[in-house]
Amino acid sequence: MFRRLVTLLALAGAAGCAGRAPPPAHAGGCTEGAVHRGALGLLGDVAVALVGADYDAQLAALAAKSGEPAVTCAVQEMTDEATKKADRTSDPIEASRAAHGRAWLAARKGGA
Amino acid sequence: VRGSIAVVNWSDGRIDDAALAFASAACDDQLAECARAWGLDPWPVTFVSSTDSLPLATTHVMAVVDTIDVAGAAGYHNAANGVIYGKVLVRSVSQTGMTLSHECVEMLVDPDAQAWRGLVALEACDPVEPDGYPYPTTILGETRRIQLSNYVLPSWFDPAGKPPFDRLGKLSAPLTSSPGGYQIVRDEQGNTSTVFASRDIPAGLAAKRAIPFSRVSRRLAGAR
Repeated sequence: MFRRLVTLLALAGAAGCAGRAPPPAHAGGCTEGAVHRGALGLLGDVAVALVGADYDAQLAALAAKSGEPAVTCAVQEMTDEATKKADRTSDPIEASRAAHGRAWLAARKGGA
Repeated sequence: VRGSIAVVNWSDGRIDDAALAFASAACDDQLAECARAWGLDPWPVTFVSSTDSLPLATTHVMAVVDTIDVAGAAGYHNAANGVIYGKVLVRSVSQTGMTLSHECVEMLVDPDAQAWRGLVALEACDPVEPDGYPYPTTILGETRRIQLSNYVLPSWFDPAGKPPFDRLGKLSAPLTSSPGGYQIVRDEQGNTSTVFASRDIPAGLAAKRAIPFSRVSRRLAGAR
């Protein structure tokens, strides 16, 4: 809880300095350079973040550390894959990842 | 049996997370295909950075590690106190992918590594252990070719089975092995032994003929 609180405080501070978060990277940007490499390296973290109910805070922490475009790309990829896996296997963890990922992406799209 | 496999990188940076994300995605596709061939429920395979928040009753951890606690093994899976898990020794990216594939397939087919078909252990990859095939896997628009393990089909365990007997169609008869492959067998008294297809047994494998705890499904380190 304490660590989460610190993370949220850090994010609040960062947002205050940097203004609005950059818009999410569109699909094409996910294949390019640093964003691509960053997103690849985040897939494991995003897979963990999307399982729990506190996914929004966890993804915000990742975005603060690694940049929103890379996180958005990783979430998009993980959501697409989790949706396929959930449809194929009825696995509840993959279903959670898919639902949380869709909700997070929708909120970003709506707020951009 | 329903379940899922979470692949986690517990090596000390000897293989990067992205490589394991690709290998895990390839194994996910392979398990979907393998489950159809075996008439099993498919298990998803996902790379994760941590297992802390995962329900371990249904999520089976496959850890990629620097050192392994079964002598001479490149990987194994097992069950302890009802928890099914596996370990893969990190080696080259290609070798690690092969072992990951081997253990994921065998975990799907026999989760706790205890089942037998007649006098032969239900190990889906051991008889064809050296045989692999490249599988193109795309993540975020990037495609890598991941080396996956061949595996035998249910017909292989049936002495009267009809081909194909394995994923790659290399075997021409049931209960046979590829050169370098092996089978764990037992006699009528229940004594187990490992039968190698070739006399060219890699050094040190004799030690692996007797595992002091339950039968672990393992990929031998001597294999390519």
